[in-house]
Amino acid sequence: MNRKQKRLIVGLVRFLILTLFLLAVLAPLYWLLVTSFKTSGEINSLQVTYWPQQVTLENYQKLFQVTNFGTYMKNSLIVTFSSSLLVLAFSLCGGYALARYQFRGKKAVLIAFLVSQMIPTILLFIPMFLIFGKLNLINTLQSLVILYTVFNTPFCLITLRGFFERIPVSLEEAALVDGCNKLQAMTKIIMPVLFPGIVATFVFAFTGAWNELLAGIMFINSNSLKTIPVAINAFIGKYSIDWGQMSAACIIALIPTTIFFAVVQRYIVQGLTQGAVKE
Amino acid sequence: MAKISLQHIYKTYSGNVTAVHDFNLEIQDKEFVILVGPSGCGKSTTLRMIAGLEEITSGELYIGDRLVNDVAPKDRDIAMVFQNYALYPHMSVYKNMAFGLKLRKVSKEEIDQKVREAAKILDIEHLLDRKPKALSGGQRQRVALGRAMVRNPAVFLLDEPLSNLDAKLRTAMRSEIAKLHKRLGTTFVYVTHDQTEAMTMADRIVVMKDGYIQQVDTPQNLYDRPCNLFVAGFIGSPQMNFVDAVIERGEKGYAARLGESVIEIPSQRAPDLEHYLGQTCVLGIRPEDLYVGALPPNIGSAQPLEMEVTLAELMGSEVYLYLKRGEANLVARTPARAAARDGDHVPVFLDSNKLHLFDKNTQMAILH
Repeated sequence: MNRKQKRLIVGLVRFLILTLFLLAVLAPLYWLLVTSFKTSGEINSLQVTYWPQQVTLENYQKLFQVTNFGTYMKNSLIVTFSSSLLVLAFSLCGGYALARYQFRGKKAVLIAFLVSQMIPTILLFIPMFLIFGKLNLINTLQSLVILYTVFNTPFCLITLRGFFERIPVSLEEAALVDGCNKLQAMTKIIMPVLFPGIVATFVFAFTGAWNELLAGIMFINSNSLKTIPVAINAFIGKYSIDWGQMSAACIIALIPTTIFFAVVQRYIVQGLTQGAVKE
Repeated sequence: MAKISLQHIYKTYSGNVTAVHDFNLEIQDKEFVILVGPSGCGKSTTLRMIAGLEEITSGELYIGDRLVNDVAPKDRDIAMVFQNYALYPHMSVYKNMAFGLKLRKVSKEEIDQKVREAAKILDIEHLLDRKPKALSGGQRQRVALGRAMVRNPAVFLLDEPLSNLDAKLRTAMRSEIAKLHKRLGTTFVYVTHDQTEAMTMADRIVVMKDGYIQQVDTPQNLYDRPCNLFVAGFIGSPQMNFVDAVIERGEKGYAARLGESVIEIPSQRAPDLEHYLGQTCVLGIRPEDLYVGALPPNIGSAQPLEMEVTLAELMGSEVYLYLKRGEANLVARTPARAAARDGDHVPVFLDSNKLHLFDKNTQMAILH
């Protein structure tokens, strides 16, 4: 076997493994998509069909006509965007402080953030529920915004601290000497350089909030305040599950995140400070 | 264009670590001053205090006639070149250079003119549209210089700007920076740990150690008349030789005894050494003031030292001979032709007119 053949075989094996992996990831999505276009009769029949016998938009129609899916989507968008922006604001300030300043108890703060990640969030729901009850926050979207912000901030803050630490201090100092005040150095130099880090953190906070179900179920009672995961969960009835509508809802829930990822993915893979300093 | 005056400047970090002690210096307008010293001597801290990036613990700092202790870096009319260049990675070379002017609301036409002028001087005109990541180390250094130049600042601060460049490029940039200084006619304050850079470029050198100024003088004076052992050893390469010697009464004044050999100290040079009679001092002699083999005419000293050559280092035009005799180790710089070989025993003459003597306790110079 010569080298050319060897390389061909290695390539083929690599292709096969990746294809299998991709199939494993995409198969459930395909099934979701196909199911959303099937009639309920076809879904519930014992015969497995890999393509809808009769393509129908009935599930999508019902989703918006029978349920308040538009409202759920609006709720989810409000909660997700507000909490992600808050997470970002806190993480930027805190991450910067932890990366750049020396202060008493800095290590303790870091450890506290890390430890908080080890506690199962569900344990926190009970005290949170009591506190929110006293504050009259139960069954409001604000409660979810606060919860998601609190849950996602520690991880994002530590991540952003790492990004800040990779930006040399001299870059900031150069900006200060060049004529910036502290805030300008931040907005004109550090933020643009940090952009990939900001995007990565935002994506994390966004998906975390967008997909969250448990807090949504616990803290929201009224139908008009449900978020998408809660609404999808509601398709599981006592006696039956509406697979068609559920699939349609899932597909629609995927659209914003997919668009979002498509837009930002190129920043995530980008290097941070290429060429800024001599490494 | 401005002079800088540092008066009783101290820098103390929390935890009572004092990085700079009582720093006093007047830097004249258009002067090229280099702060030099080993790492941790406080030279960078001093520069950063001038820049305003480091707070001054006590003392007064004037740029021009203005007290600037509490003035923000952006209002000090300074520009700084950093060791690691610190170029803005998301901006093109042009924008990097224009950034400072843009912040100062200079008109577009003027910015363009200034950037292109600086780029022309630095020979980076063809790079203006590139991002820093597409530049070589030397090109990045030029951009960093350009960014400082366009603002036409009163003071140029340079923090080890050449230490990240390779040896060849460093030598080239050294002369370019010296030329740039002449051309711009601006006050330059430059920090380096490399005494060669200091010697070749500076109008005046400030030698620092452990946060204290050791000596401030012109390169030539620093070389010829170092005020203490540290400066004598730091300036010059290979460094000055030091051997212990006992001061005795000589034929026409005083003499220094190294083992069995006695070196007469020319009477016109010797200060009053009465106080040191019988005591051990440190005798310093530069490698080029040692003569191996024969003594040229008109050079002082008589009695040669018999020494063994342990290593001969060929530098091209000259040879460094590492000589040994008992405890004493000397390095001599000799013409390549006269080279001795390893293991040779050779007579070594000291030019007694070029002797330095240092007090062993205080380390201060007694005789230059």
